[in-house]
Parts: sequence; C-alpha cells; structure tokens
Amino acid sequence: MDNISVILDKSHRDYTGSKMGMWLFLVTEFFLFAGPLLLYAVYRYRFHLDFQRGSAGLDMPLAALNTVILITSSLTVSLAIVSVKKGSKRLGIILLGISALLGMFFIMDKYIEWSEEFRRGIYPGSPSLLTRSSGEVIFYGLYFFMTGLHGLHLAGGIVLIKVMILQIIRGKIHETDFVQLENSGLYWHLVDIIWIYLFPLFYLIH
Amino acid sequence: MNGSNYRDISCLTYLLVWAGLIFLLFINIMVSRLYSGLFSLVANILIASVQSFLVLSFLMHLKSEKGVLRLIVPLTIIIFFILAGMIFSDAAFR
Repeated sequence: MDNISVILDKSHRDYTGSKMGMWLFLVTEFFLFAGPLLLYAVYRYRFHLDFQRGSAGLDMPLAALNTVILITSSLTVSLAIVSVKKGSKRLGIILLGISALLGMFFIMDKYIEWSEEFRRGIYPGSPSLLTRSSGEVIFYGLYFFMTGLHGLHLAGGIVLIKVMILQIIRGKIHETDFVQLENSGLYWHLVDIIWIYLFPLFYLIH
Repeated sequence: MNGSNYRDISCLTYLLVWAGLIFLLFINIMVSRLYSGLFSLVANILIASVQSFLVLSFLMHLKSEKGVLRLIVPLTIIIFFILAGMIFSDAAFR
C-alpha cells in the first residue's frame, strides 16, 4: 500500500486495543460496585441479625427468577455473537432481541418488587423504615442503592443491545468486523456477574 | 480482518455453561435454606465465585484469550483484596 493509500485508509481497526479498552472499562465498573460491596461487608459483620431480618423481608423467589432471566440473557447474547460471526445476521438479531426482552423482564420484575416494598413503607428515608433498627436501615439503604445501580447498568445494557441490533441491520457489524458486538457482550456479562453476587448477599441471608 | 483472536466455543458448550449456572443457582438457594451463619455465607460466596468463573472463562472468553488480557482479572482481584484488607483493618480498630 503506498503512502497516500495508508493516509486515506479508514478501515484500520485495532481488535486487541478495542478489547483491552473494554476490559479496562469493565475493571472500573467492577470497582464502582466493589466500594458499596465492602461497605456491605463491614456493616453485615456489625449488624448481622438486622441484615438477616432485612433479608427476610425481601422477595427471594422473584429475585431467583430474575437471576434465571439474566443468566439466560447472557446465553442468548453469546449465541448471538456466534451467529453473527458465522454470517447468520438474522439469527443474531433475533437472539439479541430476546436478550433485550429478557433484560426488560428483569427490570419489570424489579419494578414489581420495589413497588411491593414501597407499599409496605420500605424506601430510603421513609418514616416507617426509620423506626426500625440501625442495621435494618443500613441494609435497605445498601439494597436500594446497589440493586438500583445494577438496574441502571442493566438499562444501559439494553440500550446498547438495541444499538448493536441497528448496527447489524446497517451492515456495520458482520462476520469480519464484530468487535463492537463482542464488547457489548462483555458489558452484559459483567452486569450478570454483579447480579450473581448481589443475589446471595441480599436475598440468601439466613 | 477484525476477527477474534481466540478459539470459538461451540453452542453446546454455551448451553452446558448455562445449565451449570442454573444448577449452581439452585444449589446456592438450597445451601442457604439448609445452613445458616458463617458457613452459609462462605458457601454462598464460593458458589457465586464458581458461577462468575464460568461466565468469565466461557462467556467472556478469558479462557482462550491471549497476552495481557488474561492478567486483568487476577490483577483486579488482587487489588480488591488489598482494598478489602485496608477497609476491614480500619473498621476493626474503630
């Protein structure tokens, strides 16, 4: 390739660089949750009975269903990437659509769960919650903050998946250039991993 | 060519990983029902860590990545435990 062609060539992409950048971003996302997680650890040690009481008030079966939903959505995202890499764009779009739909089911379940808690007077700063012990107030504060933060990340992931669907339709993602889709998949799997830890820490305290 | 630099995983492997994750979720719930206290907490975290390992290794392809990318997760975990040690030692002396 001559010098003019090199200057005009816009097709250069750094696959490894893209992946590295995404992983570094995921590390920052991990530490965003690690801080509150360590806070949780300290206060659980200090108020373990109150945390137990708090956990008993949560809807574990619904949260378990949410975990199944999220794990399944990780599967469909992975299968979508495989489909696109093999040239099956239509199947990839369908699988990504299913992933986004599962994500929306998760958020809908979260809405149902939080609505029930709000109905019982459990929400940050509620007069009813403030009559409970300090440990329970801290538990619910951490619960709403961490699951809420996770929910926001999930919502962002759903938007990202929809953008990836559009990119596939426009032909920007295909079997020879799919790093955007892989990176989006990495983000989605991290959101899954975060929930894999949040579920037992908040819902399985006995 | 902007292809991946790792070996592709078969759809069957993805399905097996999914089944493993669901099974471990079930085990996690059962452990919390049958046991309590510190044992239950440690078991829950260990099971969640195994689930995370499966997601990281197979779904996020760390198992077949090459080069410095493979170091990112171990380094992150080391830094996390250093931070945890600092925070717990601070809390212990309050």
